[in-house]
Amino acid sequence: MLAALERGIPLTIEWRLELKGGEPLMRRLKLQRSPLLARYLLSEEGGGGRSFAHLNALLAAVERQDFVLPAQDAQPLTVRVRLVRARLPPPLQLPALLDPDWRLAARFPLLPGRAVP
Amino acid sequence: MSGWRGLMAILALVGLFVALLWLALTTTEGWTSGEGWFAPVMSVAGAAVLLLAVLIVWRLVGLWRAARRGLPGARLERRLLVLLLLLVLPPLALSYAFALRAIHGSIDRWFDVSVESALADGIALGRALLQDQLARAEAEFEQAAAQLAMTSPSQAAGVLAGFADRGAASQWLLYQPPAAVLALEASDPSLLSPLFPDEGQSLLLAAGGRLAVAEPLAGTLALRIARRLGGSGTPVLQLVRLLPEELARPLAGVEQASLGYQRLLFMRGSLKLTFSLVLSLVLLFALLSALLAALALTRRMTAPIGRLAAATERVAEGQFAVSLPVEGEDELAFLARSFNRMAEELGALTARLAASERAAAARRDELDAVLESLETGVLGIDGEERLSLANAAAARLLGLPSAELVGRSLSRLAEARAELEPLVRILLARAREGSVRWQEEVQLPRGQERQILMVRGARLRGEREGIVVVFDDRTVLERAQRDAAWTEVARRLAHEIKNPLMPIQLAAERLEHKLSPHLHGAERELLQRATRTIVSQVEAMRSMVEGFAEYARAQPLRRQPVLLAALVEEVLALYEHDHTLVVERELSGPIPPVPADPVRLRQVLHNLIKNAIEAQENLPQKAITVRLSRSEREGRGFVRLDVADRGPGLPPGFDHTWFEPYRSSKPRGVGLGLAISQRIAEEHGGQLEAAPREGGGAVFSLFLPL
Repeated sequence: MLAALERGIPLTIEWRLELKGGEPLMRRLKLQRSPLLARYLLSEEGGGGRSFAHLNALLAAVERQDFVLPAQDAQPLTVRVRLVRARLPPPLQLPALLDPDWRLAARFPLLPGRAVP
Repeated sequence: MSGWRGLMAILALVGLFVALLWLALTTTEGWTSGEGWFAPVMSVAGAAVLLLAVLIVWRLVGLWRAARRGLPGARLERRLLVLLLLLVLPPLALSYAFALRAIHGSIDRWFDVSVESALADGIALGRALLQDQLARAEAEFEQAAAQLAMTSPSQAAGVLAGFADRGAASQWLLYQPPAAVLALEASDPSLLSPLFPDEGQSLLLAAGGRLAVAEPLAGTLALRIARRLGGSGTPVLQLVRLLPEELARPLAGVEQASLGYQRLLFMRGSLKLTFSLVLSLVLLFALLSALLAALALTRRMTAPIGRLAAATERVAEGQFAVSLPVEGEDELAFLARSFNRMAEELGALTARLAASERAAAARRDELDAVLESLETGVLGIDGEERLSLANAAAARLLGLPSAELVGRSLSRLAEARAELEPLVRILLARAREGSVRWQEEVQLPRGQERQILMVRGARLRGEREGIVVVFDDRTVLERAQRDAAWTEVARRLAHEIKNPLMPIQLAAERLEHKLSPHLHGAERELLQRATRTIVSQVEAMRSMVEGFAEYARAQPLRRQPVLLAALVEEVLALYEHDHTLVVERELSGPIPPVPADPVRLRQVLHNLIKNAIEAQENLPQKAITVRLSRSEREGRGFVRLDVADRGPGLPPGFDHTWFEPYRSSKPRGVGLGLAISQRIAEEHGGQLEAAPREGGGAVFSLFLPL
């Protein structure tokens, strides 16, 4: 998957937070590499974008997402992070479905909500 | 219902075809237009192909079952289907292989080392250009920073405004981190909002004190340069400058081209796989479509033939009320029309034929009835010398049931019934020599009698070979003629001989009376002996003449119920005085009375008993056995009276002629006893027969009908 990113294939990662009894929160991040700028671009659907000189910085930015949760007592929270295969070029959609390299492995466990000052 | 199903199938096919075409086109053209739709379209296409396959399998199973059940047209439909598939499959497979090879080759030709190198060079050139632009902007940035260092904070905006007016669209921002704007000057309305560095850039700025990058901004490229104006805690000066359009557009184009090439290079294998998959789906679609079309076509072609086959089968079963639908004006319509006309004509013909057959059957029944009622035997003999016809009279005269006669060859008939051999011999000879008409008298041995048949034959003309033979039993007629002749002889004998007897006897007695007194001694004795001889012989002749007269005399029967046992006892009582005679009686059975003339029967009994006694004349002890019993002859009931003796038995060559007059084995008999007895028996509708007795002697049996 990262090889595809290096070859200029844009990837779309979807964050989805499901709270019991509430509307889910969803965020889609588009990862892209610019060969001209030699930088990685991260943009959010409906929002602004940033660029990174290194891939690790890009991945760190993807992993580090802040969500504003409804003000209520602690509730069970389910987070789903997935690669949106439908946004891949058609020729890659079938391999992305079958090839294990295209499976997005969550390297971080579910973290408790962090209060933002 | 089938129409809806067909319409749905067609719609599904069209939808599938369009989806596959669209899928193929989007995959060929690129990936952006198909984004998000590829997987659903592929799923729908796969499902449609599966549905099509299920539909075809269902139709094929139905077709195979119909063929196995032998439904009309199913086998032909199956054969045509296989033929069409054999025609379609090889070119389809060939096209598929060539198309696959062409696609893979075409994809491989997309990639070229020189193109890749040129694109890499383009990117390098773009980077160099950006670095140059960045260096120029940095130089200008340093000039502004130097001027700001020499001016008071309140004059900073004026300095920055002077730099903002110099060139390309840019934003000059003086701020106190993190986001306190001290001064902002922009040369473009789109840059009026402060463009603070992002989090990473801020960290970099904080760490290194300087930032100079090129980045995307507002759909184009921008240069961002920033640094603190002094030590820690001093404000940050930032310049954001949009690249001029004449630079940004070619750079973006170079980057997009490079990205596109890199993407294609990366997706090379996937592209081949996807194209192969799409091509396979299209091929499968084409194959299934061809199969479905072949099914529909063969069904359409064979349905009229199947209807024709079914109708033919019905016609073969004799159902002519069939009519095939005539659709269109093609050859099948012509065939259906011709078949309908043929069935109609066949129906009419069959009706006429049935009427003819009924008439023929009626005539045959009439002929059978006539044949069965004939007293004349009729035989049909075919070209293979087999009996093909035998009426009841023939069966009766030949002594065999009709069922055993018909179908039997003449040679087998002679083997089975030796007494029929003379008849068979003549029939075979006449059949083989091909006589057109012939007539012969045939005598068949029937025990002690012989059956006389007058046989007439004629050769069959026409398609059927063979002969027809009719024959009559002349036995009774011949016997009647013979009896009549004997009666006439007897009557003439009685008349011609009886009259001179009395004068002869009187003349002899007168001679003796006149001459006897004149003769003496030996002469007188000679005269007396000669006279006695003449008288005795005249008496004998008179007796014989009386017998002939009795034979010739026709007396009407006076029938009455007669208990034969009593009659026999009555007659036997007359012979009880003879102590040399032993009479055995077996008369105890339940014998019903017979309609007969007791006087004539008594005469028969006397004749038979006298015959039996005379046959044992030389025996010191004579014995006769009289037995009464019931018997069946040709389906009729008879009372049988047997008179058996223990004499020398029947003479050699004894046959029915011994029952005619003047046949006797006795030296003194005139041979009229048996003839008279036979005549009396026949007058009663019965028969007199003779047979050797077991242990010696003879048995004479009188059969009288009940």
